[in-house]
Formats: sequence, C-alpha cells, structure tokens
Amino acid sequence: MNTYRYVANDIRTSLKQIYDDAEISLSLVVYWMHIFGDALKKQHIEKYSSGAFLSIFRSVPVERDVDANMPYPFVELPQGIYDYDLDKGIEYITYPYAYTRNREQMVGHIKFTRTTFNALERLNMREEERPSPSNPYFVRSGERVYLVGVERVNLLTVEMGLSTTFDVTAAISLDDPFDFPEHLLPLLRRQILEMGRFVLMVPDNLRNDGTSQDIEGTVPSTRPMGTALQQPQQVDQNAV
Amino acid sequence: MINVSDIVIDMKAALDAEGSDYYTEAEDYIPAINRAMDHVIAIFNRAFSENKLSEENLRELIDIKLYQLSSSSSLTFTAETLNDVWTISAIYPLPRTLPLVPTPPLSTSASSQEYASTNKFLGGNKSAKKRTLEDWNDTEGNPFEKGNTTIITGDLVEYAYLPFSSQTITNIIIRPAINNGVCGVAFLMYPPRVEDSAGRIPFPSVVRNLLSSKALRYISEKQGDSSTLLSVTDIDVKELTELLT
Repeated sequence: MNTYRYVANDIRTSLKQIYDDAEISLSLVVYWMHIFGDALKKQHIEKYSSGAFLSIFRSVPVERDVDANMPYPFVELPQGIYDYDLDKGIEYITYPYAYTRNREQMVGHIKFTRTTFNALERLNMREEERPSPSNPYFVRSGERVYLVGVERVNLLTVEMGLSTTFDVTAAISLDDPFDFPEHLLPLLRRQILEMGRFVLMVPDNLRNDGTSQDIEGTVPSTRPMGTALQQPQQVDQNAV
Repeated sequence: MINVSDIVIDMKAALDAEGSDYYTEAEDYIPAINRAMDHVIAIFNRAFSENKLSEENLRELIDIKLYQLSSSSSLTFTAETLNDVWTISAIYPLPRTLPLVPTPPLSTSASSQEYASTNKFLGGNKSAKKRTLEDWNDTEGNPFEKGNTTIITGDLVEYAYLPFSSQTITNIIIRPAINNGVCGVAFLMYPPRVEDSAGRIPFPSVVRNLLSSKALRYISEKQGDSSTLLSVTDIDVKELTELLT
C-alpha cells in the first residue's frame, strides 16, 4: 500500500515543477489528500460492499448522561464517519452477552439495529420489536450514538465497525500507509494538482512587489469567468 | 576562488597602465578591489532577497556549526561571534551528526552553547524557515505554516525561527520548541578583506570580470565619473544572476 511519504511528496514535487518558489508545506498536501480522499473514498465505499476500509473499534466506552435527563446510555463516535443514508457509516455495533469466566474474552455478541428517535415510539408498541437487551437499537445524534434497550444492563463497552473518515488532526508518520483505494490514486492526484495549481496561481498574479503600479507580465493571465474567448472584432472607425 | 593578482592584471590592462607606476597596489588597486567586493556583496544581497540566487553560489564562504539550544529553545550569539558573519543562511533543527551519539552528553542549560566541535554536521530532514517579527505571531496557530505549534509531533512538524538583535547580542528563537535540542546553523561568512595582491577572494571564478569592472569604476571615481557608483541596479543583479546560473 502507498504511504503518505510517496503520495504527498509526489503531489508536492509535481506542484513545485511549475511553482518552484511556492511554499507548499507537506502538512498542507496531506490535508488536501484527506479532504479530497474523503470525497472519493466515500463514493468508493458506497459503491462496493467490501470490508477493505472497515475500521473496528473493539472497546468503545459506554457513558451515561444523567444531567441531560436522557434515559439511554450512549457512546461517542471514536472517529469521524461518512454520513451515509440510514447511518450506514456505522456498519455494526455489538455488545457481548457472555464473557469467559475471567472476563477476558467475549464469547457471544448481540447486534444493535439502527433506528431513529421518531421510530422509537412505534417500536415500543409492538412486542416483537420492543427494544430490549436481546433486541437493542441504536440512534445516532451528532457524534453520539444512543443505545436503546440496554438501559438496565451494566454495559461498559461496545464494539463498533465504522466507515471512518481521515482524521486530519492525527499525528501522521509519513511511513504510515495511506488508507485509500489504490486505483483511485490517479484521480486523487489529479484533483489535488488542479486545485493546487489554481490556488498557487492567484498569489502570483497579486504579487506584492512594493510598487503601486502593475508591472507588465504580472497581471492575471487567466481569462476571467464569463468573458468571451474571442476578442471583439476591431471596428474600423473610418468605415461607414 | 579568484586570485587578487588576476584582478590587478585585468585592471592594469583596462587602464593601459602596464609598466606604469601611476596606479599603486596599496593606494589604488587593493582599496578599489575591497570596495568592489562590498559592492558585489550588495548585489548578492539583493539577488538573495529576490530569490534569484541562493547562498550555495558562495559555497566557499559557508560554515556549518552545531549548537545546543537553551532550555527555552533559543540561540544567543554575541556581537563578536557574528562579527565576520554575512548572514545566517539556514538553521537545521535536530540534525544528524557524526558521531551519532552526542558527545558530550546534552545539558539542560538555560543558555545556548556551541556543541562539541568533535561532532560534525551530517544532514537532516528539516530546515527552519526564517520568519519576520510581524508574521511570527500570525503563523503560530496556522497548521499549514512553518513554525506552527498545532502540529508538534509526527513527521509533519515544520520549524521556523525568528532572529532579533540588540547592539550586543542576537537572539534566535526556534518554534515548535526543541528545548536543549541540537541544531545546525549554516553561516555565510563575509569574504576577508584583501591585504595585497598575493591573496585570494572566495568568490566563484565567474565573478572575476564583474569584480574587476567594479573595481575599475572605483578607480575612475578619482577621475570624476562617479554618477552610478554607489547604486545597485537591476542590470547589476541580472549580470550576476546570469553569471552564476
């Protein structure tokens, strides 16, 4: 798998081919990789049912918010997730219903089903759908995921399988693998280079040279949006 | 390196003064060459500031020393230390050194000090960027600028330094802080003054013609033509840039 070192330096070196004096920090390139990478990776995961980019968090602590008068325990999402329809960024949440004797290993899991606060009322009306420890639900609200049906269970942790976004605030080692579909790298590279070239073009045109006059050759070289490609035809003033 | 004697020969030829004692070494040629060196230094300064040349063009004048930073991540130089320093070309935080094991062991001193002369600078993968007094504060919180304090771990840490001086000392602060860490400082030294025609000038040999022509203009000052002697023009910079690239 490609590492950050290769992808980020490839992009920076390519941008420097044109703008050799430009200051393009590696942290900026990595940030671009993350935000453009997220857009492409989200589409990839949506399109292909694959576990290639599933992040599993074995022990996400369960918390209780007694002050907010909310009866349900909840977990904070350990990392940002893609915001898919029907909360499909949360692949699964399970909790162990049995441990080995020394509580070191979980031997059985119960899966939470996704629902909404709106649907909870209806679920409570039907015996076979009613939230319970054997039939728990989860409801997402922002970064919190409420666990419904396990209010009376002394639940300490749950396991979560998530389609996570890149964490832009994480400390990166350049030799970390870049967790991104390899076949989409040319597309990612192209998108970043196009954006980078646009960004770098603007300050060059507006370069502060210490004078109040435009110097020939430093005026914007790109055609402003909405202007015609062809120059207006010269009108012969002498023609009648 | 340029031999001073070669420049003197060039000047004599241009002045048509071979065999003449009208111009003397001590009173005419050497002072003119020294003033021409000052003028070329001024041209270099302008070329550096416009990013047209880099200090590597004067590699004969570059000296890299290792320092241990103070416990507040700063370097302090006395005026005497920087007496012969033209400019500080680069600062390399946490460089590789030879031998790799620090000798002597790093101290936790509150002041900076020159690192053991037995250790040699080998290289590194970081250079600190020079900041101005104004943007030093502006860039602290921007994770995409060198010298930010948002990214302080991992491979994306990027350093910056801020020099500020009084009449007696020059302080350099490095950010993010590497308290008591080692850093390499690349100095560009001033070329020593020429004493006689036996000396050598540590400029690239391609600058020889420029140097001798400038020296000739200083001699011509005595003859009344001093209209453009003291100004650095775009033509000067262009000429130097073309010579060195």
